[in-house]
Order: sequence, then C-alpha cells, then structure tokens
Amino acid sequence: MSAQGSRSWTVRLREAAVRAMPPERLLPDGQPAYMSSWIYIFGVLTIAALVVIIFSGTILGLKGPAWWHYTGIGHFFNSIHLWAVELFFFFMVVHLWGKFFMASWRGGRARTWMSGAIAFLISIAAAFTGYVSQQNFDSQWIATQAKDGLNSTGIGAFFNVLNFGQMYTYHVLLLPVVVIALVSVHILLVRRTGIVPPLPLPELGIHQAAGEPHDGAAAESVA
Amino acid sequence: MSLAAIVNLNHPASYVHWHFFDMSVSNLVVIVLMIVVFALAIALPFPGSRRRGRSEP
Amino acid sequence: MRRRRFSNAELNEAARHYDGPYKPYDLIKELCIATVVVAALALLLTIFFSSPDDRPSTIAQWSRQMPADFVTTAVSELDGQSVVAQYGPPYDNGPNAQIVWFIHLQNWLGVSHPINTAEDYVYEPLASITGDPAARAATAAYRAASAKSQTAWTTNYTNALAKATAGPGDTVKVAPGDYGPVPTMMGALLALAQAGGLDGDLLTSSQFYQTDYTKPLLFMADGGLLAARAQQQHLLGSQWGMMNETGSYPGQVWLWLYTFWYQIAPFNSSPNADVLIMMIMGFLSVCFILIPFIPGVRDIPRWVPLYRLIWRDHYRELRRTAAPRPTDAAAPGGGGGGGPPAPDPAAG
Repeated sequence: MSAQGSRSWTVRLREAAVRAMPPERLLPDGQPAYMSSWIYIFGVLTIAALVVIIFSGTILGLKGPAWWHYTGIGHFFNSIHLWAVELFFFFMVVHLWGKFFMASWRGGRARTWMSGAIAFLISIAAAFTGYVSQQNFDSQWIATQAKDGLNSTGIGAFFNVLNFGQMYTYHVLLLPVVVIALVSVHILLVRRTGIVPPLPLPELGIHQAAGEPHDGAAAESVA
Repeated sequence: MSLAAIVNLNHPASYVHWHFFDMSVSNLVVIVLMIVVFALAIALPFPGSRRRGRSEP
Repeated sequence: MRRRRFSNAELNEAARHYDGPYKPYDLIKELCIATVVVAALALLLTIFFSSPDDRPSTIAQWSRQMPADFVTTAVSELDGQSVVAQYGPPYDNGPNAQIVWFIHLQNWLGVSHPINTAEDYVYEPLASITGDPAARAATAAYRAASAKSQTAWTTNYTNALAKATAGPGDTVKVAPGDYGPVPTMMGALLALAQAGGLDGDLLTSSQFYQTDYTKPLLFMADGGLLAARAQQQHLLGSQWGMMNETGSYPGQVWLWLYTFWYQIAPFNSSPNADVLIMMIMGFLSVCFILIPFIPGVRDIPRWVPLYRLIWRDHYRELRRTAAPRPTDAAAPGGGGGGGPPAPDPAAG
C-alpha cells in the first residue's frame, strides 16, 4: 500500500496504529449482546464526572485560587467541582465493584484492570492535592496532618504539602495529565481487547459461555 | 459571601459510634447509597434486552 | 448435566474470543447523555448543598484567642523542645524521625526544608521590631547567656505558663519566678503576633513573592488552635478525621481503610504509626493493582456469584437455545449441548 515500504517511520507508525486499532474497533457501533445490565454504564459515568471536574476546575483556574472565597459565582463553581469529585469517586467505586465481580481481567485483560486500579490511586492523590489547595481551614488542617505520613516515608523531602504553589501546580496540571493519560490507556485497552465475555456457568460448560454456536445454528446475521 | 444553599450543611455533623467505629452520618449515607446503587444496577432489568442481535460485520 | 470447576487457564482462554451475537449501540450518544446527566446531578447537589469554606486561622487570631498557648509554643521553639524542633528530616536533624527496623526512610532523604525554630520563630521576628529597646536588650541578654541559664529560664517559664492567667489586653500573667529575659522577649513577640505582624514576617522572610506556607503552618500546628478547631469538626486522626469534611458535608470516603489503621492497636499508640501504615497501604495498593494474579482473591467473583445476576439475560438465552426443541426427533440423551445436528462432538 505504501510506496516507500517499511523504511518510513511515519508509515510504519501509522500502519501499526491502524493494525492495532482499526477505526471500527476504536469507535464500534455495536456491542456484545451479553451487555445487558445497568452495571455497564458506570465506566462512562465516571468519565462524564471527570469531564465535569475538568470543566469546573478550568473555570476555577482561569479566575485564580482566591476567587471562589469572595464571590458567589466562584463559590458556585467550587461547589460543582467538589460534588463532581464526590460523584467521580462514587461512580468509579461502583464501576470497580462491578468489574471485580465480573472478573474482568480474564482473557488477556489484566492490563485493563491494572491501569484502572492505578488510575484510582492517582485520582486519590489528585483529589488530595486539591484538598490542600483550598486555602481555607480544611486545607490548613489536612496539610499539617498529611505531612507526617508523607515525611515518614521520605516523600516529604520533595513533595511539600505545606507549599501551596507546589500543591496547586500538581493539582491543576501534573496530576490531571497523569489521570487523563491513564484513563486514555484504560479505554484504549478496553477497545483493543473487547468487553470481557460472561463467566461460564459450571452447569452449561465452558464453550457455551464464550458465545460459540452450540447447536449448529449460525449466528444471526442481520437484525 | 456565597449563594445560599437550600440545605445548610455548615453545622457540626452527627456521628454513628460503635466500639472504635466512628463515622459521620453524611459519609455513611454516601457509602450506603453506593451499595444500594450497586445492588440496583445489577438487579434492575436492562431495557431492550432482546435476543435478536446483529453480528459484528 | 455436567458441572465442574474451570481452571484459571481455561477461563482466560475462553474469554479471549467472542463469536456470538452483537447488538447496535451508540457509544458517543451514551457519553453525551452521561455527561449531561452527571452535570445535572452536580448542579442539583450544588444548588441544594453548596460547599464548605471555613476561613483559615491566622497567627494573629491564635495569639489573641489563646495567648498562653501561643507563648508556650513560642518558648518551645526557642529552646528546641517543640514538635518541629524535634521532628527530624525534612526540617531538621531532630531525634523523632520515624523508623521501621533498619528502614529509616525519613532520614535517608535528608533535610530539604531546613527550619531553625529559634531563629525562624523567635530571633528573626524580634529583630524586625523597631522602637522596642527593651525587647532588643532582652534578646541580646538571652543569646549571650549560658546554655544552662537559657534552659533553666525556659523550663521555669514553661511550667509557670501552665498556670497562667489572663493579663490586660490578651496578654498572659504568670507567677513571679526566675525566667530571665524570656518574658520580655515573649511579650514583644506576642504583641507582634496580635498586631498581625508575625503572619507576614514568617511568610516573606526570604523574598517578596511567596507561595510556600511551610513556616507559618508548622508554627501554628505546634500550637493548639488548629487542633482545637479540628476537634470541634471531628477531624482529628483519632476521630477517623481523615475521612471527614468540615460541617456536615460528606468527606473523603475513599480514605476509609487508610484512616482505619490509626484507630486500632498497635498503631494508635506507636510513634512510628505513620510509616508503618504507609507501608501497609503501599503493600495493599500493590496487591489491589495485581488482583488478576493473586490466587484466591481473583477467584472471589466465582465464589460470590453476582455474575449470575449481571449476565442473567445471557444465561437465559443460552439455556433457551441449548434446550431441545419440541419439534425435534428424540435427541441423544443427557448433555446440555444435545439437539440435532451436533457438528462438533469435541465441544464442551
């Protein structure tokens, strides 16, 4: 297909990317018929919460860290940011519980589980830097308490929770970049490996749960 | 100054004590809600769960 | 009917392929609907509950509301007996760094935010006061005195402060005793703090612009005001405070396991509780990430079969298509997979 063969890095990268993730796989318009439960919406709800967090956080960042303390509209956006964070963790935990009880790591999907678990832990760190960036009593208390845990491991030597400038930078830039990168990897892995099929029922045998036709009937071709 | 909330939560919280367990009612509500939502998510029927499907092309 | 346990290898292999039916689904529409729904939820919660914003404490407030506590703290910074002075890295070489056996993580990373409590919290602020020759002379006298005298004065004064009474205008009054120049120094420092001068002094001690609140926050944390406010708000470590928020707002519920350890023995009385608990949580976090590889834990979904509920539609369909059809001739006996024709005798 490419006139230059395999010598062009651009061509090689593009062809590898398309091989790994053809457009129909990246954005499919169908999903397995066994996805018939409300538990499946909690991943996208978590992403939606992250979108609201980032949007409200951007508004807060545009106006600076002091704004929300002395204007009603600033406090309003701060409230949206806080509740979006509560919703984010709420949906993420329900998503996690669902994925655990579905043993979603099966069939080569261990990295999907791992990237999701790491995203959860990094999100906790991101939320923490937010709490110590509030510039109110809560942040004074959280910072002076949390320093002990972090100092005890030596992390305090380069991660100073009492340093507002450092914590604010971690919160609005460094950690969101990491969270978004992890979530992107997580979603790409889901698209690449497909949604995990149901666990086989012991009384029905292993192959039937994989969806293979078991009585000779071909899979239905057109709805 | 702030836009007044309909429900004012700026008062000391109530707590649930049991041996060394000590949790605010607000946090307990959140945890219970998570469990309830999880249970509903897996128990409630999902609409459009028809048998006829279309194979992936 | 055959019923058997599947090995992890079998489960993994079976989960690699799916050749069964699909149904149309609009992912982008789902994402858009989810975003609108979550934004609406956040908006509703905001309108109903708003968010907390308790004003921060200042050193001026602390010195006015709790003058005896302020002065006691300042004396402990002066004679190196305060929590910060004894803390260890990253602030100083004090003796209280936390350790676990031979693992001295707190020490190994060194003193990266050096604080000399006597200089930073007493001598330098006092030196910035103009027009108070008595304070200047008292400071000079204290610095020139022997270590033995200094210790005697500060110890006596600290003991006397425990029984201090209120003096005129938010000052402290103690019983007469041998305190040397310390009361004069502390009187001047207290006046500076109450006038708001110490908040600025500690913050801008090295340059005009600042974003680093390490010094003033550590000073306040050595005193009792922050802890008093925290106790009222149920934020102390012993009150599962890590999970809580000021007021009646929900807090950081996801920190439940982290704060749990602080409530039980031996951690609730150990001087090394922080590093011990960080190690436990670090280990558990790694285990959480590696669940797919941990035998037992990864089998829980099979033992607690919530999956039967989640995929009940799918299983019902399997059973329906597996059952022999009424119009078929008598099928070969047994087996869930029976029913003509059976092209793959090797299946399941």
